[in-house]
Amino acid sequence: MGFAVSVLTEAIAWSGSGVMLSLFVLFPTEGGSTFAGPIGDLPPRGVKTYYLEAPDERLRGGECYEYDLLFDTVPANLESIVVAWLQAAIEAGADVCWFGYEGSFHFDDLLTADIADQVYAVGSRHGIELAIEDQTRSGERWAAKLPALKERVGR
Amino acid sequence: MSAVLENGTTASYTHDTKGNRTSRTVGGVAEATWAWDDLTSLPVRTGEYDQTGALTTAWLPDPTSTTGASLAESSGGVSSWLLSDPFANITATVSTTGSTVSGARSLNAFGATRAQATGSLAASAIGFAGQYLEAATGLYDMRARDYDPASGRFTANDPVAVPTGMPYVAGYSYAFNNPLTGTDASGNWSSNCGIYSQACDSYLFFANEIIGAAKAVAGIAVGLVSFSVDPIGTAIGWGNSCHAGFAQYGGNGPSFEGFLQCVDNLNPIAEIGRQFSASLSATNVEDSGQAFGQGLIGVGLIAAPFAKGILRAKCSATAAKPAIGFANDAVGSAYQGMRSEGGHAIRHLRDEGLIANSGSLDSQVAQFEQLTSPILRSPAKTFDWTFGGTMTRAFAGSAGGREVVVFVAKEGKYQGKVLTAVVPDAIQIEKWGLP
Repeated sequence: MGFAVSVLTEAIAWSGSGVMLSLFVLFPTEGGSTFAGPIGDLPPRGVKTYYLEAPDERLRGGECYEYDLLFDTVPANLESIVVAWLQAAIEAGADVCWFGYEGSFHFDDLLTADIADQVYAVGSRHGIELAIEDQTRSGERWAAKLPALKERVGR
Repeated sequence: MSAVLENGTTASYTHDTKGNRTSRTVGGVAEATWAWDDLTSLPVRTGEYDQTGALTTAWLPDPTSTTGASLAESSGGVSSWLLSDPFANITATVSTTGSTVSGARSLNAFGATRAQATGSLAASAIGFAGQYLEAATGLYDMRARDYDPASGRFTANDPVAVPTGMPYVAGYSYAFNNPLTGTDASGNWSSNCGIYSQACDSYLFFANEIIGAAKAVAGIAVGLVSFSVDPIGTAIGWGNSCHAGFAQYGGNGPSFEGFLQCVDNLNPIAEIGRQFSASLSATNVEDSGQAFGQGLIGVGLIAAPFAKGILRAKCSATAAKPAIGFANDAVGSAYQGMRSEGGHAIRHLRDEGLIANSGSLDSQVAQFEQLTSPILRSPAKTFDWTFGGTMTRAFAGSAGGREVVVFVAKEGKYQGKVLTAVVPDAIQIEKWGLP
């Protein structure tokens, strides 16, 4: 169990200086401009927000934002933080949202099977799915689930 | 210490006061006990005994080994010399009564099985890095920690902290995640003598490690593509089908030394690495020129014949040890498709003000390439870094008056592509050994 978690914790601590959780959110057009995340007891020490501009008309009436949640160390309540941010994004109207590793984002590969092992949580109005454990992320079931969800939410 | 096995039973181990594992009990039934030699640089198992106390396997420690390796094994009335590849993996056995190959196996770089062991190696527990494989758990006993060859990682964090000034390495990784240049038989810090070592004046390179096009730069030979051997001698099983290898650059002259590692699996003995040294002709130092060398080839415990080799490499014989960059005509490929990242990869440099946060994304991506491509071509320093779960090559240099580190994927979906770039903070500068 410790090993499985360590792959994730090493990935989110890749910079060697603090920890960053990258949340990617697809909102309907102009739906994400006011999203500020959940209110919690242990917020990140900082949040950086980026509008990710899609090439051509690939998002079909949607827009994509990245929220980098900054922590000094891996938070002990990592799972609950992930769930809280996904839930908040869904409540703010997100079509689909997910946490992924640095360097995993590409509009050509949104929630595709070949980068599934770099996505550790995903949410939509259909619910929230976690893949905190390494074994889950690398499995065929997770690789099939992400594109299926993307299809289900019409993205 | 105990572990719950997949079948639900519990394997328990005892250790002596020096930390050597001395017995295994599975499901309450004693299975094995071990005796150790503590006079070697690392303790080495010398005997394995069954529940009745009868000796089942004996090992002859190698007194010169720094990794706790054994020279020979005796089990079931059969004695064999243990032959290793360049990475200390036991990949073949030779009968002690003759020159007959009595067993063979093939392991990948992290110790996972490529080809099942045959002959006398089939029942041998000595394998990856010359270490003992625990049959009950499938983990190697690396003394301070257990090592899982399936995942290529230790099952516990490194008890030795990363020294100040060294790049950060994941605590669970084996030999800086680079088993081709290091070992960690103690479980306490790798014996790596590769690119992370500040004290080691050498550079190790591999044909499959080159990112982008191979490039010849002063002091470094890159793009080693082939190695053929015309044997003079009678080394057992020596095959001239061997065609791949690696070499280590000597650092101060046109010389290489290293190991030949056959990869074609044409026959079991071809898996054994032969130590090789060669001097390169100073007249053959540019681009794809051939270099001829003659040296000693050691084959385990077998008499060492001479052979000559042909080393085809792009190399130069001057200066020492610069970092390897992209060739001018190859650097553009690292940025292909970046526009479709929507600004993800460039955002850190934009935050730092090195890229204008205005204008179209296309223009910002163009600025990013213009700013960072000189670093990819001529980095002040390169190092490997696990980046968001992907192994990357980091290129460090100066851009826009700031220190910048650019990360290029070495594997996965985006291999050869820039993943991101950062302006390192003080902690990162120290960890990555940047000026």
